[in-house]
This record gives sequence, C-alpha cells and structure tokens, in this order.
Amino acid sequence: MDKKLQWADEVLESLNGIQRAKPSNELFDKIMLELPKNKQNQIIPLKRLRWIAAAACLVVGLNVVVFSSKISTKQITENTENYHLINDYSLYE
Amino acid sequence: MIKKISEGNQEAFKQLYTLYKTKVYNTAIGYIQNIEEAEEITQDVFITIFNKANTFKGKAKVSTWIYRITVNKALNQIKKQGRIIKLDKEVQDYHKINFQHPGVIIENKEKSTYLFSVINTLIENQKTAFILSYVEGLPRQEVADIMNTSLKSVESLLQRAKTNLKKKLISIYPEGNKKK
Repeated sequence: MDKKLQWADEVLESLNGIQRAKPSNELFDKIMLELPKNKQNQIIPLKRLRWIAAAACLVVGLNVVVFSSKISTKQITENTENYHLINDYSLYE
Repeated sequence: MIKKISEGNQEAFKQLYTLYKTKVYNTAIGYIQNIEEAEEITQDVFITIFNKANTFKGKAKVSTWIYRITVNKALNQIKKQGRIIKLDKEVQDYHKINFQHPGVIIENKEKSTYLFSVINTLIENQKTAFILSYVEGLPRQEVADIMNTSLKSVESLLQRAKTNLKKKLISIYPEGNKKK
C-alpha cells in the first residue's frame, strides 16, 4: 500500500514545472475565416471617415463661395441699373 | 481593446489573440486532452469573444472573462461527448488514451499520463480548480475569481480533488509492471 501511495503522490507531483501548451501558428487564420463578415463591414475606418469629412467640407465650402460671389455680382448689376434709372429721372434738370 | 473589438476592429482582436491564445489553448487542452479538439475550443472561444465583446461590462478582469468562456466551452464539450467517467473499470479503459501534455517536463511525461487519465473523473468544480491551479498555474485568488467563489472554497476544492485523484490513481496502479 505504501508503494502505491508513494507512486500516487509522485504522479500528483508530475505537473511540477509544466509549461503552457501552444496552439499551432495557423489557428489565427482559421479563426479569421470564421469571423462574421457583416460585423467587419459595418465598421468604416477612421482614416476613410476623415477623407469623407474633408471632401464634404470642400464641397460645402465651394458652394458657399460660388453662391456668395453670385449674390455680389447680382448686387453690382442691380446697383448699376439703379444708377442708370436715377440718371434717366434727371431729364428735366 | 475590448471596446475596439466590439466595434469589429481586427487589429485589436489580433492583439488580444496574441495575449491570450496560449492561456486559452492550455486551459482547453487540460480538459479535452486532445490537440485538435483543444484548437477547436480555442477557435470557438475567440469567435465568442469577437461576437460578444459588447456584452463585456468591465466588472471582472478581461482575463477572468476569457477564462470563464474557455472553462464553460470545455465543460460543455466534455458533456457533449459524454466523457464523465465514474466507474473504476472505465477509468482503466480511459487511461488507455495515454494523453501527453506537450508542456510536461520529460522526466514526468509518463507519470503525467496517469494523472491526465483520471482528471476527468473529478466533478466539475474540483476539476476546474485543479486544472486552473496545476495545469494552467494560476494563483488561487485568480482561480477563485474565475470560479466566482472564495479563496477558501478553492483551497477546499483542491484538497478534495487531490484526495479523489489519489484514490483513483491507487486503483489504476500498474500492478506487476515496472514502477513508472
């Protein structure tokens, strides 16, 4: 019995100094293949978002510039027309 | 990192994988005792982490959460395969599996095959306490956190696990063979 007990104790001690087992190098690629595709597609990278925001700002800015220059051209035209009219009213001077 | 993973960030997922792959795989192999199946469990654990990262509330440590997932998956796998062995006769048959953990030092290789052959005869909580403490080498407090129990309970579980393992080992002592 002592022999058996001693052997059992030795077996119980056999995990002393154990190192962790490591998975194969290919496992990560296998996992990536199994990941749901839709979750990955839902995410727009921040870098791309920045470009989209910059492009949108540029379009809005250009519209503002074009619109404001149109308004000032229209105002100049109207002012010139008014000047001519005022001059025309001075016929009897 | 977990927040980034919940948003589908693959780079963050890769970093987490690098940090935890060995811990997950080694824990799984302690229960499953089969290289291919332990890899399947590891794969399953990381897919679950990717899909459920948004459910992580930060109440426990990330490592605790990951170990819990691993332990649950491994125990479920064992249940599915009906690996719970109760009779000594079955222990002797099961012993023939002859699993050698790749991390066991050379001089202990043969003895450890006997130990692994009887680990799955333990009840779930004793088995988890034993594997996390002796195969994975975690501190008792971390084992207690993973098992959501007290340090005292873990110590008691380990004591009972060792007593039970010793009884099983005595019952499979290789009579007539050269002492290994």
